Amino acid sequence: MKKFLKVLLFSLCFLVPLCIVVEIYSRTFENEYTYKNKCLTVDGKNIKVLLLGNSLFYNSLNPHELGDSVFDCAMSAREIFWDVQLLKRNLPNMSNLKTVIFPLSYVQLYRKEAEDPQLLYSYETYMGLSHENFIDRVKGRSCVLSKQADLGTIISKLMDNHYVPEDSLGCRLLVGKIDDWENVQTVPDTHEYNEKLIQKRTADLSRIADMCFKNGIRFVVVTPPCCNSYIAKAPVDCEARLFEMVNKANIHSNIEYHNYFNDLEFRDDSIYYNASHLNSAGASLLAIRLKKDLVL
Amino acid sequence: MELHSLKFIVFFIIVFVLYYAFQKKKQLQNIILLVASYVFYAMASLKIVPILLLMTAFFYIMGRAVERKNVSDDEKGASILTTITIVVGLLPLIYFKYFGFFVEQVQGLFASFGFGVGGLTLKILLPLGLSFYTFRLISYIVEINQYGISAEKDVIAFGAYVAFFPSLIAGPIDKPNVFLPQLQVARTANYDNLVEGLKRFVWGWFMKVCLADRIVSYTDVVLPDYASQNGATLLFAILLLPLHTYADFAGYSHMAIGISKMLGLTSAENFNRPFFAQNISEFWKRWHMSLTNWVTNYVYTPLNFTFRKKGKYGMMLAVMLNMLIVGIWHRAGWDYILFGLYHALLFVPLILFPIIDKNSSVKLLKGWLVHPTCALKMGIVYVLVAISFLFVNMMDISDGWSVVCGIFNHWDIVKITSKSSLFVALFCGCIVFLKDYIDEFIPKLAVYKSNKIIPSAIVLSLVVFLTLICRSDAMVDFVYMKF
Repeated sequence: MKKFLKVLLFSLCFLVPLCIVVEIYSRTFENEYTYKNKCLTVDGKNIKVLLLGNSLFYNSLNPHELGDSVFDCAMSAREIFWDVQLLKRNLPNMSNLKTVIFPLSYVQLYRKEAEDPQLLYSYETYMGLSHENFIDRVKGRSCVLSKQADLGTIISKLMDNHYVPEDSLGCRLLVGKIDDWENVQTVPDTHEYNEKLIQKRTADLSRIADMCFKNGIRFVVVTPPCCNSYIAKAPVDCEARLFEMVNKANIHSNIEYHNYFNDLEFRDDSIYYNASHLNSAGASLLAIRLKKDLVL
Repeated sequence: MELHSLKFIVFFIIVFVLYYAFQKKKQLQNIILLVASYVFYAMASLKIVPILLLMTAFFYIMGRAVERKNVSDDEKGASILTTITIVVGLLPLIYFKYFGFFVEQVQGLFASFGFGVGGLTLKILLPLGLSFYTFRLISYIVEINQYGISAEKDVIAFGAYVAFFPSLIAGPIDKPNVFLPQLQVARTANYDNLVEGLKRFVWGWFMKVCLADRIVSYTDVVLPDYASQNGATLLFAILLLPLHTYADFAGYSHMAIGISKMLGLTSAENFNRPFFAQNISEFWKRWHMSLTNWVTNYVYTPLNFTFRKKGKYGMMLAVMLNMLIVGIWHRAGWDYILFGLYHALLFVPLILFPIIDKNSSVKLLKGWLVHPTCALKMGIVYVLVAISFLFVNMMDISDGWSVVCGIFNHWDIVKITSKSSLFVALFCGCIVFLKDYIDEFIPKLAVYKSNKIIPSAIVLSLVVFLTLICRSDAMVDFVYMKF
């Protein structure tokens, strides 16, 4: 048994340095997080309209249609908590920021975003933020354990370390139509409202509203449109619940709320990628509509 | 609890420490194995434990009864008891695995004659590992009756053999005459066993999470959406199917055998580099070997003996029934019935022209390179196997056929979904191929087999490191768990 323990010990002696090398190397990666972070910190002064939130703005709103000096800082599956952190840290650099737009959807009334260790790793390592209440803190602190260090990424970074964003304004629009895919989600998940989560998100939303109020920034909350079958299956009170959430967060009466959930302009299913995400055509349509409604 | 989950590793460490804390007490070691196996099984679902318990008790009692008949030279009585035991023992498997399919077929038959028999649909969930432990139990009773092995008197050892946790849910199907005697002696911590076992476990983990789980992320996207894929993409996906099943199932087997070895027990081998087979007979001697051995011993050999007067036709009939059982052992469905028949058909040239089977030794050029003719034969076997895997993978035979036809559609550049993931999979595939190639053809280069401290530590750390940086994001169940 002693000899076997020696093998284990020597294995660790070889393994740990290898992991450390990968860890150090992975921290130098340029990626979408580092790109967005750089845009907010270094070029923050040039941003006038900032899009926050999750995939609803990352994938389903075309910032190019919103005019000049817009930046889409949204990322998939992002909790409002990270938006609060981002804004709090970067507001001092963004002296020309006039408007912050945030997406609020029916999903946010019940679905908890995955607390993937990769997310914690990405926000902490590449954006310099921290989340005290993250469940998987150990995994989230190591690139190897959080699966952040993938051989494919390592090799591609070794070959070319320069990251080129898919879109300079930070979005990633979706190509395709709801009819193109067989098993695409067309109705909402079955669920119950998560009151604890709503309360937490309302508090975070009110923090953003508060920061915007104190810095004289216009704060717009938008509920994006959804496809017909989704709306038909969603509970009838969901719009009222969203409105209630915004209302509770609106402590300074500075939140401008625009609800397009069931808007007539977005009733054609061909502008949807899936039930709640617009495709590139829909993303442009929503941006044009927003520009008109917000008079940007 | 998957063998490649953190939960299992913690579970195993606890079992391992307790097990070797009682090195010289075989009874305590067997109790630990038995309890650990039932805990492991109960963690999947508590509801399925009584079936395992009842089956074990039934075969234990019947095993003793058959042995008593043997001792009193009552051959007929022993055979009757054995038959009853097998029939009763098969009932749970028939009910859970085949009854739903049978009802569906009867309904279909009535409907085709215009008799509506209501919309009775049965959704019976197959208890985990039932096919594996049923076959293990049947081999136990047949071995007592036909080959005169002693029935196990120690109920703890017998229970530990049936429910042995590394191989409970997806094999290998251990033979009682090989495995049970190992439980009769106390196991001590043996350095070679521990190191070899750990290396096999880690290698299996690598095959599963770096190769199988990455390939499936490609094939699961391409094949269901076959109508919109081009020919090259479909062909590529079809060719990846055997590699995926091999990496998944052989990965599991390596892990199970590795754990057994670390516990001082030798489990049956399940794979012997099947893609170096030059004909289908050789392929089945190398693929899922514990099942192939089982059906060869208990189905093919008796059938071949029964049909011996019919010459080659009798042999063909025996092979056909044999392969049919292999097919439907997996799952009740026309796809697996056809899978069995298709493989049986591939045996026909070998039965008609036995010379093909005899000329299957591999020629090497310059001592290490496989002769092109042999490589071609290996390639043909691989493609033939891939086609059968496609049909069982698609569930619907017409869909499978559409995919085959789709290969001949427009041949653009391969459209690769999840490109980087697939490249990593191919890189891992090359490592697996290289290791298998060295093991098969150039064993003197297999330096990783050394059990010395430093080489073992280097091999272990390299494989673990590769696994950590190449593993797939997805946690996919083992394919053979559903059988």
